[in-house]
Amino acid sequence: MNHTSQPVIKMDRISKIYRPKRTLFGTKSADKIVALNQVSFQINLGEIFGLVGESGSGKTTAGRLMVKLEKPNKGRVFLDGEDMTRIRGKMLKAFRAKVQMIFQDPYQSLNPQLSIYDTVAEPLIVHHRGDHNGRSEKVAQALSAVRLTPAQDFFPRYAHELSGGQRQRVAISRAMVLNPEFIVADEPTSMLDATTSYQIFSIISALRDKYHVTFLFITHSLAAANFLCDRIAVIYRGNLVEIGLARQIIRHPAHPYTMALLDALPVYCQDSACTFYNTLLETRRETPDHDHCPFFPRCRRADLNQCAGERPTMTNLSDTHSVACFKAV
Amino acid sequence: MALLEVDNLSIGYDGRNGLTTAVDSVSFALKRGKTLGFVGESGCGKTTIGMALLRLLPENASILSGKILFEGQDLLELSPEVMRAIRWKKIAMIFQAAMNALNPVQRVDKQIAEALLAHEPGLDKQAALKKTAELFDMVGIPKNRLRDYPHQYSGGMKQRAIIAMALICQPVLLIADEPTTALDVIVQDQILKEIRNFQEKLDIAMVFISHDISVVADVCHDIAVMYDGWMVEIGSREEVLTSPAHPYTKMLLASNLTLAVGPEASISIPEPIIHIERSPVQCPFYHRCPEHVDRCRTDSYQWVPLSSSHRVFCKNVTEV
Repeated sequence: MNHTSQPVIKMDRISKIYRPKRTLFGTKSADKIVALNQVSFQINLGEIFGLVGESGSGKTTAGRLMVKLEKPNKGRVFLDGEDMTRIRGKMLKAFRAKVQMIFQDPYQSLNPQLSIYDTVAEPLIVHHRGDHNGRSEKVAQALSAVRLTPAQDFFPRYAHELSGGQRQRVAISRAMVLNPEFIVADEPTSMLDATTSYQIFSIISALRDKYHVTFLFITHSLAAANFLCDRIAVIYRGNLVEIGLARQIIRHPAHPYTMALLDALPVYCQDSACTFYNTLLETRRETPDHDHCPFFPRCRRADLNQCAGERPTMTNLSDTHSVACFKAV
Repeated sequence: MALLEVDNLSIGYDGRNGLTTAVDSVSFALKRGKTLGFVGESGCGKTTIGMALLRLLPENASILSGKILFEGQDLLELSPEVMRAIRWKKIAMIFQAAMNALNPVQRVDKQIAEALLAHEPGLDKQAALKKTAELFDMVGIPKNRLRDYPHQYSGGMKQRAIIAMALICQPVLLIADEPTTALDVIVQDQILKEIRNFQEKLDIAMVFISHDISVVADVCHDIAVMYDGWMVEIGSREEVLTSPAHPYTKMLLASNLTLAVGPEASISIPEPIIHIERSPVQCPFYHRCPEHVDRCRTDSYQWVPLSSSHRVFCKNVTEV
């Protein structure tokens, strides 16, 4: 494993707010939605970084912001130390070759009219890499890297001829073919069976070891993150609540929400050494109308003064572990 | 006597390439108050079994052989009218993708009361609504949300409403087809607790279908493992989890990620091979099986009993 702490990609106090579209008569249909609130973290070279949260927590938005499929309302995105927030034109195209994304559903992310060869070769054509022969070699390499071998057998086939796991591997090889620095994998196994998911995880892990690609792995499962990731960040309703080494988050969680996520895993997924933290309130509290801890309405440990009246900021527990909770420090 | 006894059930689908067998010679029994979990990957036939129990198979499906004995009578021989009287009153189902199972333009309490009124025409409307309110209380939906429309509900609440709808006629057998698959971990945990709770309280039998063995392990007394239309192993939860006998069960358990397994652990998972021709006696798992021997291709099959409740369908396992 490659643990230099050289940052590849960095999110600096990113906020993303979705405003509802105006309706026909100019009335507002709903309140604005804060998808991300002042989120900062960095991912280091050769690292698999897990972003864990429930649906609607903003984890997918964070991934899309990092590959510039969305624009932040506030904050900046850095790649290799350079500010990428407002780049355009040639700079943006060069950026697109360096970062790639693997989407959730391989049944929808592949073009059904392209052969597997054309699917994987397309990024090479878009970015003018190599001639015909060079490309075919690169495509073969990219397919072999995801264990679709012999690669030539897959060239003329189409997505519908492949199983879900094979399709997702084609999506991974398409992301890998440009030798990117950084790949966002957005719940790449949520549509797949357990045995197939396991294969995908071991492929991602092998790609990191061999090509030193940096990964952001977005998932809702702490068990999957524990298996694959070096570091884990937990996100709750757009707020980063805890960040640390995978084993710190799993063995010594500091935020009550992280603990609730661990508690909620089926017993068979837990470790015999696991404790039951019991941090989740059965009935939600009233949400205060002023600034408060985002987890306050559901937190059993919260106190009614500090937690209801102030928003906690990220505080370091150690060099590698920080948490946004008044009760944890 | 068991409440439900399925004997040698085979189901096929008519398609472009002729008849495909989706479920092959499956037998099991289920007692009142017990839960049997079916686990396997997509396409293994677990949902087809669930649909067959309610006789809700699609047009192109046909029952090739077997019996489904429910309270002693064969469901497959009943007339559609008699079957309709049993459906929902005695056997109810929680469908996959419950998110989309509610009518968006009708208030939730009314829809659920409607299910009750459809099956008990004598009942008056007020009584049905009262029963609905009681049931909502049991599955944990607050009283003030009764009159809401489905879009005002979160995913977990819709799932609770669907569970309430399945329970409204007090069935004795419930089929739950991936009831928590679309839900977040915390909500899943709450729904599974709810399911265990009402099952104990109402003493009903349940067939629980899931692709996730850890979820099945959480709610089921017995576990049946399916592979490519075959039931390959069945036993009590403890037997299947702690001493799995079929190589596929072992593979399924090994690929289940737990907090105890770190990145250093590694198993190899052979490629699944789709649409392969094989002789009727060849084991369907042959090509992926790490333990396969020549016998697996030639010998005929038989169930190997390992205990009074545990049996395995593998030629390579010998009786103990």
